Amino acid sequence: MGNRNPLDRRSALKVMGGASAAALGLRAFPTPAIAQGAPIKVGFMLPYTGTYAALAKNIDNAFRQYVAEKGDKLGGRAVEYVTVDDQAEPSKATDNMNKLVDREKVDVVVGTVHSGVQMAMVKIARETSKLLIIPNAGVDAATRAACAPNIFRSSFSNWQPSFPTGKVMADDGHKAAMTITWKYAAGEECVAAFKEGFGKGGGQVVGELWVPFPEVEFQSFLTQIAEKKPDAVFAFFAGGGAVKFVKDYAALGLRKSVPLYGPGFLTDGTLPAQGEAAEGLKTTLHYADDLNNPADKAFRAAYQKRYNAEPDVYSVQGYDAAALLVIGMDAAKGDINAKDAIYKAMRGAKIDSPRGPMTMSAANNPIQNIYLREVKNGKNTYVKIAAEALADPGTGCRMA
Amino acid sequence: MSAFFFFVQLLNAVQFGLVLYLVASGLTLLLGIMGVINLAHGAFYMVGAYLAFAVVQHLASFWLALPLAIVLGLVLGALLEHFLLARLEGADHLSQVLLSFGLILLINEAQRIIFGNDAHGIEVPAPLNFSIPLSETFAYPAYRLFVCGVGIAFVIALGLVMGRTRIGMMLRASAENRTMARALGVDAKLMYLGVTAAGISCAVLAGVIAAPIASVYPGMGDQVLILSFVVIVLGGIGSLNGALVGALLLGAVDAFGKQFFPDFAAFLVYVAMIAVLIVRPQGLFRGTGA
Amino acid sequence: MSKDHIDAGLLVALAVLALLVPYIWSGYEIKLATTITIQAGLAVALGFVVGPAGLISIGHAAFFGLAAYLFAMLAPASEPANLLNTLLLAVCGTAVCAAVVGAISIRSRGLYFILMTLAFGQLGYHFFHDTGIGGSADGTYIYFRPEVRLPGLDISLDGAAPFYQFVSLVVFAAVALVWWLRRSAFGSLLVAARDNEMRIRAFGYSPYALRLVAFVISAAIAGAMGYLSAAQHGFVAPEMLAWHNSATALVMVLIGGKDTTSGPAIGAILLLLAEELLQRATEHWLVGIGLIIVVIVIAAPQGIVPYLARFFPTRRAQHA
Repeated sequence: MGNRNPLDRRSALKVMGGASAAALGLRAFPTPAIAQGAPIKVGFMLPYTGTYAALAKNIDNAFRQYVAEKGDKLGGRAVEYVTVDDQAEPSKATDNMNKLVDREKVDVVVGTVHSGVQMAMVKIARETSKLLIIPNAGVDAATRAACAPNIFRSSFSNWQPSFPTGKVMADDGHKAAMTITWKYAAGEECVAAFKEGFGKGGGQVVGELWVPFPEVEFQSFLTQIAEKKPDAVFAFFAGGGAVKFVKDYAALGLRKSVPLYGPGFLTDGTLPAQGEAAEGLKTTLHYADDLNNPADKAFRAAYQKRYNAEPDVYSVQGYDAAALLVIGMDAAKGDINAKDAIYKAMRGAKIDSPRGPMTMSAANNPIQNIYLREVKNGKNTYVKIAAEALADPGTGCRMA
Repeated sequence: MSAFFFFVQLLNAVQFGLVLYLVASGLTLLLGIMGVINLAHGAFYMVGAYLAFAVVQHLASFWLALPLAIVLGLVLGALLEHFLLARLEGADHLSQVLLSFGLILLINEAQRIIFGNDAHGIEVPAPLNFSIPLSETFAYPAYRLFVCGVGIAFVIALGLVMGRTRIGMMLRASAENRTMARALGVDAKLMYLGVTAAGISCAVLAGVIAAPIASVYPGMGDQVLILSFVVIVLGGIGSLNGALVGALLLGAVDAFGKQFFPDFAAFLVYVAMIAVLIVRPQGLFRGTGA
Repeated sequence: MSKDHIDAGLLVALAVLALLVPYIWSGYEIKLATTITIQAGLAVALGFVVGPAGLISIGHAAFFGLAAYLFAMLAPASEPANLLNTLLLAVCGTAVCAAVVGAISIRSRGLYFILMTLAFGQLGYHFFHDTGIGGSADGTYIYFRPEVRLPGLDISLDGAAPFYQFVSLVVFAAVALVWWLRRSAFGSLLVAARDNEMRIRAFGYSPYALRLVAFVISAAIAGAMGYLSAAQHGFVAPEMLAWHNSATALVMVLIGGKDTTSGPAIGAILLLLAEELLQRATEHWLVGIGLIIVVIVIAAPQGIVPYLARFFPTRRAQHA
């Protein structure tokens, strides 16, 4: 290798000059207009890249759809959107949240999907009193020990969809079950809720399998299930992991010998990819593909028209997040600083959601129906209500 | 644990190990014969998986992806050697580490630009889309058995090339003593080009073959990369036989580890790697070192 | 001007810049500056073993992360931790681990050493990710920023500016230590051991012992940086120990040059600023970073600082 010297004096000075200009340029931010009538800045912090990308897109789409349906106004003010990709990475969560709160100075933060990232956002929201609406992450603590008046959730707590699954499985006559999920906070909370529900129905968990997060090589674990032969299996996976798990489960012939259940994330948004392997799967969730109440029909038709795609539970959660915000902003007539009015209105919201009737608990978590669904012909069809107006216990929340 | 399920887990282990061997053999060629650390090896595995995805999407045939993979791998490997690695000739390992790290970033991001950020699955190709019932309640996917077959065929083919052909002889000679081999007339430039092309091709091919049973997602090469390094350390840097043994060992640790000590399976893999580096750095088989 | 003069000059310039930062910037930029300063400290520590000691460690992020986790485990749940105590404990714990890791690894040379550090780094990552200690895959939070407790005086570092000032003080001390070590007899012996092992042995020194000491010091400083990072974000996760972070630190050393003290710091600043600017320009900013790395490895593997020395020719050359 020759000792070529491509960086001569002139170009080096250019580089240094450019770098210092850029460094000073960091200061030149447009300061946000504080005057009334200026647009409300909504900051999305979602995993636009990575395994949860589809969920992020659906939440974002449906949120904007709702606001557009209300004339693109929040309490009479225009809306401006800012997005940050959190990549479902807890280690970058604080930096990303700071980008929205400090640098972009948004008025409200909407996010996120991954529970680990969520807790960083909750921590900063508590410290800065910034309004935070959670459109998915079910981490129980956000509306339990870490609850706060400025933190709302439009989705679910991890406990809510998984607690009724236990009862469903017990009612189906299963006595001994195994659980399998990723080893992370959301997985642990789902399994704990399932055990509670299953135990109440007289069932017993005979084995717990924990897959390192976010691995999707299930072969060894599925072999263990085949060997132990429980009455049934409770599985929690979402996104790409759910697709692979259901397909691998079917490929080993386990669908016939060991019935598979789970919270609805196992089959929401994943049915086209899962195909035949998912037929007949029973899951519990706060939504189904054919609820057919008027709000749902209108929502689904509009979503199809606007985005040329089928909505799913994540879209509904994004849609209702916007509904909550509009309720709050309307009550405060667009004054983002009228916090008490906003929070009171949001806490007292009665939303006619595509998922059915929805109200908010004292810990700012939705009170909603949990439905039993079965996959028929590539759709999560409604079977019956597994738990009506189920509220998360909210243990440890000082507001509840 | 019943004998039947022991056998099944063993099958899982062998299948996992053989895919790993396909990737690690390429790494062995690069590191053992050329002394080049290539951290981007996992990224090429990912290139193979996405190639399979693209071919299935646009050409509606999985099998076409196999020859395309080999060709693409050879081309990419040749380009890598000619434009980048050749300029590092004589440079130290630090440069190789950093160059290949930069390559990982470029390849990963290029993948995101072309394919986006979603995770994808590939349907198992048609003639193999069934499971072989092993008992009334349990079946084994035929495609996974096919992968085992491909792996074994590959082992045999590579063994024949290295042991029975002139090229193999030159490669083995260069692995033992590069300078001497050149002095004896082995054309270094051509050989490096060929070895890099072949090594990268192995990784791309492995990605295609594994795609129907793995998920296709951004950054999927990372885990495979690190495991490949463990494999060649266990087996001996530069030894293909060692790479096979190391890969099968890792497959066993993965399959059985997840059953008996799930929280420590990965941890133990690295303890084993360190132990080998301390006690017998040339590997369980005699490797050449670099 | 010699390379040493340039080095010293750059260090002084960086120190002055560090002093001015809280007065020029606030809010988001100060937090960015804090992150950059911590990474610069990590890079300088790594540069000390890569340069004079000739040890290419691709597992240094594990020391960074280990100290962060030690802090998280020591921090009380309902009140701020005592900064001086917990920092000391975290750094000492890391140093002890580094001594063990170093004792085992430094017996190997070249490629084998690199693979050893990779293995130990992965070991550290999986220890925290898989076994459930410290919150497993999700990591764990530290709810209160530690405060400095001196006799008769409690200093809270809750504000971005005071925390930044504390961080730059610690990093300045660390960088000064490395600079002094490089110029000391110890530093010369290290370089000599790197270049001609046999001769150093003939003088009765043990290259192994020299390198081990350098490794432990470097790891301890890396640990201090990890502690500061945990204190900044209030969060630790297994990703902090991932080999990608070690490789990125190596890139910083590469960009600035491993043969000076200031080189790695300059490299860290340039790389992180490039990241920040590229991130605003495009979603695919990693392409830019990848290109920067590839280009520098091929075109300027000695780093940027040595090039600066060429613009200021020595007196001798001028009068040649």
